Amino acid sequence: MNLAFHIFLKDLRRFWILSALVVAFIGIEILGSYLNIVGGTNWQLVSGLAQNGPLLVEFILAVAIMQTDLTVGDRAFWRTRPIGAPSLYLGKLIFFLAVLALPAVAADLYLAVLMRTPFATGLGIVLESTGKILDVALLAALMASVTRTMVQAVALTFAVALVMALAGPFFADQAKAWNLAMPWGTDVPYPGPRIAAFGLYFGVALLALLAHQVMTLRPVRTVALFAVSIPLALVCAGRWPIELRFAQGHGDEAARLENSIGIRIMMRPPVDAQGSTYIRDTSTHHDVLAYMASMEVSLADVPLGRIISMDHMRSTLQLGNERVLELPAVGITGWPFWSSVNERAAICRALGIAHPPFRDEKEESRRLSLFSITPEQGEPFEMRPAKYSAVMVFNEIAFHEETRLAARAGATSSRSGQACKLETLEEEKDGLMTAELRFLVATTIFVPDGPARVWHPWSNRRGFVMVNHSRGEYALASNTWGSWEPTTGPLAVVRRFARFGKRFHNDGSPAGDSIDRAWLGGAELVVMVAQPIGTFEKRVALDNFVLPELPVNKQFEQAPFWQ
Amino acid sequence: MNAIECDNLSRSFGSVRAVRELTFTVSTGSFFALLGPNGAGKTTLLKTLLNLIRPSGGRATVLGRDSTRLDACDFRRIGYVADGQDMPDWMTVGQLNAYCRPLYPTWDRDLEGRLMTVFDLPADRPLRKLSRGMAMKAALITNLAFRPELMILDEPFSGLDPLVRDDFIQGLLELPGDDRPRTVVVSSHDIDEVERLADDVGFLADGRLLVHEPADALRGRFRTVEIVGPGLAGPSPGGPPAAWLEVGRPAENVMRLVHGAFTPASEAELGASFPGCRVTARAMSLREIFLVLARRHQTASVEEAA
Repeated sequence: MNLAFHIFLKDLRRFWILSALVVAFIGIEILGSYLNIVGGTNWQLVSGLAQNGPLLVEFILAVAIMQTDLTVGDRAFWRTRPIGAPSLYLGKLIFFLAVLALPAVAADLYLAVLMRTPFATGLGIVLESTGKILDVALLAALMASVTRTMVQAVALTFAVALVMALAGPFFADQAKAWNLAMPWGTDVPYPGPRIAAFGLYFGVALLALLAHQVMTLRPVRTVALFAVSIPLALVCAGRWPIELRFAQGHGDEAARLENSIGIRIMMRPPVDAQGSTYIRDTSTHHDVLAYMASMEVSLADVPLGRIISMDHMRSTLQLGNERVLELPAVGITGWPFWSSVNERAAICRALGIAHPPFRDEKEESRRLSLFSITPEQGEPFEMRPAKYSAVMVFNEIAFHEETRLAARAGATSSRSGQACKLETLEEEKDGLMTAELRFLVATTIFVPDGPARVWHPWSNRRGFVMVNHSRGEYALASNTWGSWEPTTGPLAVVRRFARFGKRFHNDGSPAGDSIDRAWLGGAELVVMVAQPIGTFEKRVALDNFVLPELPVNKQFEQAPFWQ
Repeated sequence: MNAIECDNLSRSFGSVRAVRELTFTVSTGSFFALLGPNGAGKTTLLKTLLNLIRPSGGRATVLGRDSTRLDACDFRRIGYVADGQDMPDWMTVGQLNAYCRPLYPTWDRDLEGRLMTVFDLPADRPLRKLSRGMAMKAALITNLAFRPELMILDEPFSGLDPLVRDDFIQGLLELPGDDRPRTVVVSSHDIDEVERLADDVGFLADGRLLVHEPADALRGRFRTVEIVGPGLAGPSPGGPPAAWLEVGRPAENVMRLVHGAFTPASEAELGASFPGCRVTARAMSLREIFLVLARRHQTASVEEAA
């Protein structure tokens, strides 16, 4: 232990400037977070420095600290001195903890307290901020020279690019012939947990490789194992992602609609529905042009205030008892079912107020691509009654209150790892009122509910309601838009605008066409957010599903077969 | 007990066999000079002995320990100074000594101070600002101050000016009895410097140990012989004896050769073999012997390749 501390002090003396720089940059990060959260001022210089500065300096220091006592090669000073590898790496670990991890964790904890971050998110942020530095340090420990390795990596990239340019078509054909496919799903809506898991598995592999290198002194073998460890870590991350979940609990999440919802598929496709795609022909292993069969699909009996979105579907075409055509699964994460009417009703329902009278309360149907089929695949089914069977998996989504704050410029709120500030509230012509909000979300790649909101169309959807309790009135945002800003450490910053117009009584009856300052004086701005409750499955079977004659010409400019 | 024992020790780098089945010992208390041309495998051998690289075959023991199991404790007894070894060059000489001091329980601060004086090193100057010779001296101090039982020096003199070399050797050997390392192994192709120091000499070429014997014995059995007289015959049908090396005829009545198995009786035997001729035998320096052996090995290698 004394020796490890001796080595730690030596490294500290060697890298005191970089160490001080790390602490200074983390200080800037804290200041940036503080200004973002508390001050609400977007001080560009601080934000810019806090965005990448700390991580960059931490990476440089992590690399330097490992490269100063090399494990690879036979010239390192420590190797011929009474310094054992355990003491050396214990010294490095002390340095890592004291100089790199501790300030970073302190900054994370400060942020977590400031943002009232849930435990899982806080843990994820700490793991993420320290884990990537540890990975970089371990990687550097396995290199004889980081500079040389980087030059080699660049040269290798150019060489591969050159080879691919010259022989790419051959490789592509071979890859198709071998039917190469990733052994794990790549169409996940948010890959964060898999990236985090890869970092973790890769870190464990690097640790094992370092132990191997120190014990065997066989750098070539270590490099070979390293090459194997990358795909291995990728496979493990694909199979066993690590997700740190928020504790769910929003009142009526237990509700399930699967028993009451019906599916309607209109056999006539919309007139303007045409399109093509490429699908993999399993017999030739080539991608071939296919037509997308898009139909009007609607959900029946969805109560107003409930939201359903399709997750994915798979289907088959069956001809009598003989021929069955498996149609590829269709991922439909970007395909929201719900209408704006239903969304506003859902927001009101979540707030316990009656929704305003909508002019057309009919559930809107949405066009959905049911399957894609090549003329060759479809030929046996042409003009013959077949049975179309589909399994559709739906998400049930509910709005719940995310935060609420006084309806005045400068109002702030902070809860569950998220801070919100009402920056401006400006009156426009025609009595419209536009609110500019700034959201700060403490995110980590371990938590899908954090940055995943960017990917899930339903998950980042927010609703805004002005509620005046004393008058018993409310106003729903009629239009919203927004943009992302540079992140500050683990803080994702989003700017949102919401426009309010008509007022309603809490029983849903109209109260007026505009809102004014006096009305705002007693009002609150309630921010609602859509979050998934769960999934359910629906099976659809259509007898006498007739494919019309398929077009001979495969050019997708031609009219699709169903027209 | 031997300080170093090698038994069929080998080390290959791909198809290059840097060290080939070496079997030899270095006895405790001796000064062993490992000689050989560049690329002979000297550095690889020493690094293998110190567990800096693993042997491909055979084994070695250093101070009674298997070389592949040398650990931190063993390096409290072993000093190592090498040309090209990484040094913490951001440290000053004083900081380097301070860093090394706690690593060795046997560190002698008085000896450190004396060596600093002998070597005339500025304690407050960073290593990166020292000349190469001064940096080597700084490295030597950190290896001598803990009184190592075994000191291994790999090409310590290359590139040093004579004055620094002298300082270096003085620091290494002219220390009083207990201050001196018990066993010293020096690899070099600078034979002049080690000639006066070496007890034992090993000659390494292409990874093979061609010669390994006490320096005095080596010097004793090698002589340059000149035979002058009118009765010199041409080459004998069976060729010259194996112990005769570099046989030459600079003039019709002059024969010169290097005798590799010279004994006190050899001069009389040569006189009898060449009646009427004057036979003169001259002792050779290690450097001359080294050159003869190197040339002989080079010729043999070329013939083998052909």
